Amino acid sequence: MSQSHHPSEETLLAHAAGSLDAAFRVVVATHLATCAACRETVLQAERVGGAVMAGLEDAPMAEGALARVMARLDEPERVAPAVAAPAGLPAALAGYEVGKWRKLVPGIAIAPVSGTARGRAGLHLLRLEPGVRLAGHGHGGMEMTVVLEGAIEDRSGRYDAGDVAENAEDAHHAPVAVGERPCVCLVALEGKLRFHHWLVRMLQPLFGV
Amino acid sequence: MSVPAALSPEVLAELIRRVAETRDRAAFAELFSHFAPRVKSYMLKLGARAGEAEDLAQEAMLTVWRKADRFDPERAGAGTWVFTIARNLRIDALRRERPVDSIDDSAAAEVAGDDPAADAMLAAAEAERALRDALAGLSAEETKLVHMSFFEDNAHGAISQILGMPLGTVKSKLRRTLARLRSALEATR
Repeated sequence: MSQSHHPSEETLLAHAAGSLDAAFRVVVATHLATCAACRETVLQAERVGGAVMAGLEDAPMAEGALARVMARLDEPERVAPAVAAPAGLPAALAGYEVGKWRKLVPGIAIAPVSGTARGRAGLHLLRLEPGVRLAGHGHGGMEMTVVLEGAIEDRSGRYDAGDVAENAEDAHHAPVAVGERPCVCLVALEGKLRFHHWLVRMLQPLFGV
Repeated sequence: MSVPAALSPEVLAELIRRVAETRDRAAFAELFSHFAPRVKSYMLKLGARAGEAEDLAQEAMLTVWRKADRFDPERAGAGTWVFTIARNLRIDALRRERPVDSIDDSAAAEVAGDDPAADAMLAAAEAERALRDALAGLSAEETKLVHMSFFEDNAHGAISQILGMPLGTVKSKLRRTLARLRSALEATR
């Protein structure tokens, strides 16, 4: 399947450089699994990384380093047991666990996803029933969402499985779940505290506060 | 200078092939002396302490030995492959708890093009060379942006702070620089 909404080029560069926060890395990896064009962009950025590394001044290795490594070549490799992704979730979530689903309001449920390395961003699954609109909200920090099932639509278009929405701090949007099935998204959001803040803001219009 | 009588990308790819196919220790030793000091330098630039950088560089070379059979010279040159190994090791070192193998590489490897192997391998080596030249031709500011992208965590925010440049400017400059590098790459096709 080809995707119509992609992470920004800077985000793909950061992914290739290894500087993305773990939660964002998982969102991007989920997209990459179905998007050949972005995999190509990442590969190009990795080539840049290779060239940058090749151009660095050598840092001499410690004395005897080669001998030490040679002596380890026949060591059996300690292979970490393969970790599967939670049932029904993309391979990028291998090693992660989905916490308890909570209903926020009718038609909207959320579950924390944990297992992330220390990072500034949190990871959540969000489920919207068909026709339900997420109240307009802004973000305290960077937000990145990848659709896992179903579809959402906002003023920038329709997002199907694999599509990524990247929203900067000042973005406001109000996506609505379209189609017959609930829409499940994986959401990475910078800053846990901000996330609560974001939730509060999201709920405000619904409760009329 | 930073590039001593360097082995060509073709020679490096051949050395990795020999390690993969015949477990050639002499070939491995050559790869080690070429790559280990660069990987260590990369780790130091990323803020690793000396001992840690040394360990990670040794670990990276051990990974080169163990995964040599997964090196796909049609997909990327040797330098790119070793870079991704180093990058993934560092990500794992930061995350500690769960050393999960890199997420995207295997999926990407499966969709490698179906060019005749030799041509594609030459193309990958050629691309490495073209990129190196293109990097050398960047302005001081562009070079700095590219380097910081690879050596800072939270790269864009950090670049913006350090250079005193709005985030949007950092991103648009980076995008332009990437486009230049990409056109250098595409010229080799």
